[in-house]
Amino acid sequence: MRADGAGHVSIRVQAGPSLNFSDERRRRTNWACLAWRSTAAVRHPDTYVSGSKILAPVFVLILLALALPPRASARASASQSIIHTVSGALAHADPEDQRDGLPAGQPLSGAALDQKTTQVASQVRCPVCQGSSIGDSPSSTAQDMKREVRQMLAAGYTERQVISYFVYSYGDFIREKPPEHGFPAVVWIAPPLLLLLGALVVVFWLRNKSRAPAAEETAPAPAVAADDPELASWLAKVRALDGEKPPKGS
Amino acid sequence: MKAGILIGGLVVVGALVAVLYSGFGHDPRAIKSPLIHRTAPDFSLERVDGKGTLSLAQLEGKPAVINFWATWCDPCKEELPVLLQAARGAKGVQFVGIVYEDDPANIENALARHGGAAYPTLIDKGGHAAIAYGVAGVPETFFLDRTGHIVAKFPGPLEPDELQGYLAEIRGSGS
Amino acid sequence: MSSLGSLLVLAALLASVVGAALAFAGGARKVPAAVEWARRLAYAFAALLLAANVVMEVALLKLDFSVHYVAEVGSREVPMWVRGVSLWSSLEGSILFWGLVLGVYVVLGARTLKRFPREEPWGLGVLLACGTFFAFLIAGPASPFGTVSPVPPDGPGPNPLLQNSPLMIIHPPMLYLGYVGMVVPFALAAAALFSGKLGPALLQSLRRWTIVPWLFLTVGIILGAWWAYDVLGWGGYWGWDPVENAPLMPWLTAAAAVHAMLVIERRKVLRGWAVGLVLTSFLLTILGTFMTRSGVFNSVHAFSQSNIGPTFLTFLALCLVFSVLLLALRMDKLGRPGNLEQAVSREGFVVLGNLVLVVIMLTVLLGTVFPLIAQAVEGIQVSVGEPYFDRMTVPLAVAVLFLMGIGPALPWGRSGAQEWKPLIASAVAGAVLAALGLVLGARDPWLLVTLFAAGLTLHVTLVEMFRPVAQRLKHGRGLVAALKDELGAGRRRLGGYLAHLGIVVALVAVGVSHVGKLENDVTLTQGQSAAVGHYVFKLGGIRTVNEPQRQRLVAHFDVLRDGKPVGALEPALNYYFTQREPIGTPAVRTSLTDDFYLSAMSVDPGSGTVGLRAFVNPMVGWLWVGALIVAAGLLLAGWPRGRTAEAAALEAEAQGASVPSAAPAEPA
Repeated sequence: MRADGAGHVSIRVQAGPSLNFSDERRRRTNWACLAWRSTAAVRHPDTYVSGSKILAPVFVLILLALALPPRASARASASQSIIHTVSGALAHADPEDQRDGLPAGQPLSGAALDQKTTQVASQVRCPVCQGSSIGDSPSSTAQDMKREVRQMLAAGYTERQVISYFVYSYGDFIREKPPEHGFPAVVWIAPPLLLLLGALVVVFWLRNKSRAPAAEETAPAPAVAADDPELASWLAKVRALDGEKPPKGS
Repeated sequence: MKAGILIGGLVVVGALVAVLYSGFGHDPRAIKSPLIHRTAPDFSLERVDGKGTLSLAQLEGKPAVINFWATWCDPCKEELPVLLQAARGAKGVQFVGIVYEDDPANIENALARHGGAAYPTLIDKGGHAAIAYGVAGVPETFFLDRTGHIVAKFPGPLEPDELQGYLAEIRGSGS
Repeated sequence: MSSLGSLLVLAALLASVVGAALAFAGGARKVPAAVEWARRLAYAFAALLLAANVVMEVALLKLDFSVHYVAEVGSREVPMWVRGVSLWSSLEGSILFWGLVLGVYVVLGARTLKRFPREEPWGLGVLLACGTFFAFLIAGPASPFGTVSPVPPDGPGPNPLLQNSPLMIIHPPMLYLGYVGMVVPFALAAAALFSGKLGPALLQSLRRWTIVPWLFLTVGIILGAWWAYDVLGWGGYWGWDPVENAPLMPWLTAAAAVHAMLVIERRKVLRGWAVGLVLTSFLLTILGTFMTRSGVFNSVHAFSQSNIGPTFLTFLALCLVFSVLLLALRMDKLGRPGNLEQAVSREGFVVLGNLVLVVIMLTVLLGTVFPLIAQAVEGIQVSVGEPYFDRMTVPLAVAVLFLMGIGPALPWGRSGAQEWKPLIASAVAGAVLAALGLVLGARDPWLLVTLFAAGLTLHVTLVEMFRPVAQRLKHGRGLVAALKDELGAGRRRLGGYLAHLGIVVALVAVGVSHVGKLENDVTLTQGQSAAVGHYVFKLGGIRTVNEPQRQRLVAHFDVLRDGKPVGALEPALNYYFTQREPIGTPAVRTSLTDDFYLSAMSVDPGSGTVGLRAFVNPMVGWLWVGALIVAAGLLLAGWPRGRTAEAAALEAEAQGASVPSAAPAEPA
């Protein structure tokens, strides 16, 4: 990403040829920073290595701390703190379901926690990336959010609660899966409906047409064009164009 | 002529083009905050100056401006003097800075460059608060009325006049 | 340089405008001389765009920074080959390159149309009208030839991603060849509608010209997937991003169109439907281009928020309205709708397959544009991501797999009960494959169904593929001669079945790799090791490699599989001097059964630690193999054959003004 004084910032995103925003200040700034945030970001090209050296250990330490098996007491206090952070919002998010915002499921640990974290993370969209889930994004925001998912699951929050927590602060935008109620339900209903509709059209077409010549459906002879001279001449032409010898038996 | 294809096709085409056209007005990356008009999520974070922690509850019924920023973000640093100046002049509004993924030394440096802190700056380790506020990029600023409800969210750096407009809004509301 | 380039593009614009006008006027008033001139202008259009591309290439190689585009993507730091390919590394250059590809297709299309005097004016007109739009785009909204003043001493260089993987060099041209190539079948189909006749010879050209871009789309899509897998480092190859969906949609409709054309050949029905699918395929390529270049979609790949969005949308809208009008007004002229004798027949299954392919396309389209629809209609923001697409498309893909298996086992026309008997053996093959999956640990119900369908289809495909060979052997021909016959006269069917075979292999690979993926995210210091699946990897060390345009931090891992050393892997992070974010180079060890994939997330030479994600992706290698088989099949099926005398005579006859005996009067 370069920025020059003239209000032109171009961002190079992780997976695309280039992104240029040269207009509104708002967009420019906000998203300029997004791209910055995903990794150790430093100002000048010549200092980038030292910058990454400063930030990389921080990142590594965070990861290391995560990777190390925490002591039981530490884990307990971690889950207390996550409940403290999350419960208020959750109680508001879906008062019917979450009541007091306390965990509604069993605390998870070990392989079950790993597995569930991966599964839930794949359903939460990374807000700073473009389209990938927090499970797939290497950006530090996504890593933070994934850690939050993990902590919530470890404290006994259910998958549904975790998702509602993120939806509460980010909106439905954060769900990789569109909601199944309200207007977005269209996206779930339309494809099966289209399939059904298409199938009906095909059936209608077949019935409509087969009424005329149908009769000897018992006759299994695959004589395709025997009863239709026009089709026979068409077929002969198609085959000639294709360099085929006179029609084969099959 | 097939009237069905003509009418159906034109309807589908019209709808598709209209939807695509509507996309020009929006930035696909700008996320609208669902937190507006809701109670601001609580936080309790360490102060960068080492004077203990600060939580939302401690703001004692004052309107508040919560600014998420970081020193590695250029626009945040453009915005910082605007906020600092407004905070020095504003009476009855509590400003709070929340720094995300940053180093205390960098923050102190940045603040010192603009005449020192005018309001508490907190460190958000692991991004709990940022996630709770649905922050998708920095800077982002939240405006809270005196009852602790979020009145507005502003993504990107604030200009002085914009900031004053929001300040007037939160001073006037929620009483 | 700039003015020469601009001049060439303006001349190309002029050639296409005049050419299109002459072609349409010549067609409407029946003036062969005008059409003749239109054809010459089509060739001139291509030559001028070729020259414009050459000018840009020279400017890029010589680093003439006075040219706007060179100032944007050129750099003294990057190697010569990167300078050369940076023609398609950014928006304006890629559109210019697009123009070159279009020029090539316009020439090829014009040459094909020469054989069809009745359709030629309309086809030329459509080709040149598309040419007009792109020449306008290059001349105006997306001009790469602006002058920069003062001339900068150096530039930022192209996107490092382009430099990071050779796949990125061939992937865009392949995709462009696929995208732009759809203009030829579009022009042929539109010409058929204008003239009101789709004869056997035109149908043959239409089929072949649909296969060409379809082949390139296949290659482009798979190279894109391979690139994502090899470079992006998230261990996957497909993320349902708009940029991935964009080429998939015309691929699906092209597949449907080619199969529908088989039914036209055999049964003389579905002409309007097939022509409609061809038109749709072209429209979807334009839509796909709009998606990746308008900035309206939230994509990993969005080009700049440039002003070409509205221009493109206008073009898309014009093409859409043109296609709908043409189809609605002229479809009846192609002939009576006709009928199917019986649903349970090969053509019946092609129709069903067409239906499912089109529904998959519509699902992908809906999912991709839905965030826009929700925003426009309800003012809400929603995301439609991987879980949605997976859930919706998996059952449909399995349905396609089944249809691909059963359809070819049935005869054209009518079928009786005895036709189903061979399918019993195929079903047994399916059950065997599913059981094999079960034994190897597959528990996912959809995967098991996929394996069953795959086994069935594999059996049917292989039997059908070698049936003619077997028959010839039975009639006393030698094996070599029989195979030779198959490659000669049977090339089309052999190619078709080969493509089916590749699709089966690819879909199984997709299913298995999706369900059986294992992941471990760890941070290791030197000497430490971790495991994922039956692989153990140990960090041997980190080294720093300095290159002119970047610095690489390379982590060395020794890998053990089932306790036995199987070599070393070296994932790396590359820091380009023009960009702060590092780009990873994952390291992959491919074997017949699985890929072991290491992707570095953070590398710290100071403390000697590496944060990384390790994956075991079963069967991913087979996806590339499957795609290769599909491409080979399409190549075989689409390869032009020398025209027989018979065919030439037929063509001449088909082009006669009135052919009373062959084409009975159409119903009013």
